Amino acid sequence: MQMKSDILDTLARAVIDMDIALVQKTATEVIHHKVDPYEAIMDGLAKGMDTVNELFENEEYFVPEILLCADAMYAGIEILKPYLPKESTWNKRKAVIGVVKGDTHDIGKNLVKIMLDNAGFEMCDLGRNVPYSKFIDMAGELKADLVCLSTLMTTTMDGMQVIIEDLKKAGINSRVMVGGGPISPGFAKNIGADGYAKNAAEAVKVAKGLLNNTPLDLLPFSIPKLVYIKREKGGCIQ
Amino acid sequence: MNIMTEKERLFKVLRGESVDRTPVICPGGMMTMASREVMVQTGCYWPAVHRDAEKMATLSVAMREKTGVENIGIPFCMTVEAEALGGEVEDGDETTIPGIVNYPLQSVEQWRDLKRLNPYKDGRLPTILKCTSILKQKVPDTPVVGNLVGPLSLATSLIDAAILYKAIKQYPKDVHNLLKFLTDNSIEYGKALVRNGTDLIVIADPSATGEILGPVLFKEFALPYLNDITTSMHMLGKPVIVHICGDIRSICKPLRELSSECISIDSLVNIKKMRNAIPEKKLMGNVSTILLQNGPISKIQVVSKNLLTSGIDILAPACGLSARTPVKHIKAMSEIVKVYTT
Repeated sequence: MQMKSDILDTLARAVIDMDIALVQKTATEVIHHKVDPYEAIMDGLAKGMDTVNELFENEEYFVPEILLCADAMYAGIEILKPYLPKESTWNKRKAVIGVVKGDTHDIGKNLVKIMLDNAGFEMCDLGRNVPYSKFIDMAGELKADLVCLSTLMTTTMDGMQVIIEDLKKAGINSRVMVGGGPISPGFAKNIGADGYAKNAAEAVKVAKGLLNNTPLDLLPFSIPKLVYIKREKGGCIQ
Repeated sequence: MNIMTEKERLFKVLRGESVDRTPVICPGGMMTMASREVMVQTGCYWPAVHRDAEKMATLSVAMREKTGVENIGIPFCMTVEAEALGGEVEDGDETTIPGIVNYPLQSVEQWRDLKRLNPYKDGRLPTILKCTSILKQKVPDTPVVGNLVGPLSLATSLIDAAILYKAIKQYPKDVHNLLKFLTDNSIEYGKALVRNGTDLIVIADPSATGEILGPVLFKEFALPYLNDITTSMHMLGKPVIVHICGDIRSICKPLRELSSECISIDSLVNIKKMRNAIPEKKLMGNVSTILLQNGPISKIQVVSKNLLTSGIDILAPACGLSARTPVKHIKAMSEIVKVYTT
């Protein structure tokens, strides 16, 4: 079917080109031409975002581009979401993410959030300058599979250890991934983190690795990557 | 032979003249220079210090005395300009630096609503100016560093970084307008610092790292504004050091076009490679602040010594010090320059 593959290609291309208007127009065509919306997300939008990740890793794209590509992808999902089959439910892998108290740099955290979002996590973003206890509370409340702690400053590194210890004390068995400028793999290991990610692209691989090795009830990663997008205020795709 | 003062030595290095040994500094501002240990000794604690010129002077002078670092660096955060322009600041605690908690801008075009800062009136700027003039009296032979936040980083203290970075592609004209406005304001504040006795200017621009922007956008959105500030400070006869965070290998080429005498670099950058890539600039750095916090002393000594042999022009921490950093660790770094000469 020529038209379907054209539509999927256009979606992917429009994400790569940061062209929100074209994504929206093409997503509407998906509905008109009765293309499977799920396929449009997976083989169109998400495929485009995969290429964006590669461009990022190859230093052809930088942060401004990534942010706009992600916006384009979300704009498409927003249109396709209502047409996804209601009965399909997937186990959501939940991740809590935030920048540890004392640090107000959050661009790295935002990137990791976008990448994990894209990889199928339901992201709960606590923001920046987050008090330690809030990580514990949210991880417990959501029964989060993953807690992602970020800092860009030496001054807030100690907080990570406090959070990891408090999680254990509270009996929460979320996996913990840490990252950010001053963090090294050695430091991550020392403070008892389960994983360390050097950058946003690597964060996805590390997160997947961590969760595949847990006894948690998880779906294999061949399952739809983009299903659990949670917008700031909106709900999740069901 | 006369022994050089700390000020003479640093200035000579920045001018490219020969000196008896490498200077060691810790600029302050974003590259915070304070240790809780010294707060206890002086009774001048964060966060009160951030809004008290006398205490700020006492703590910063004591930091120099206790650690052997050869400058005075104030303030202890990078929020004073943003606060003066309408950003809401939370002062932090004894070991947590102040941070911006509320941005005045929701979109880049709103820059028009910002009020020009008055360095003698707005926020903590008068406190910093007062502290600078106190220091000028107290320690005339030690360089007092005036810290400015680079325009792009200042912008990310006034608006959500994601909105700003996207606007770079979407509304480049508005971003340029905002950055121009911030640059003019920083120059205004910089001039006031110089009038009150600042000896040199360090511009910290952590948000302008190559990892975020890449070389093309760095050249368009960071470089010209850093150079505008630098030129203005040069016209007042003050040397300038520019600090860029993170991995800057991708922006080596545009970095060569900086007008500043010296570039300060983060710990993940290899000095030897940088030396070759940017031969015309003095290099400052880049002892890991994690190493400085955790030690051991022997490793701090080895790393500092390696930097000297790798051709670092000014020895310094790679970033802001954690307030939990023990004084003896900082001392281990600063003493190396005195016992080891290349």
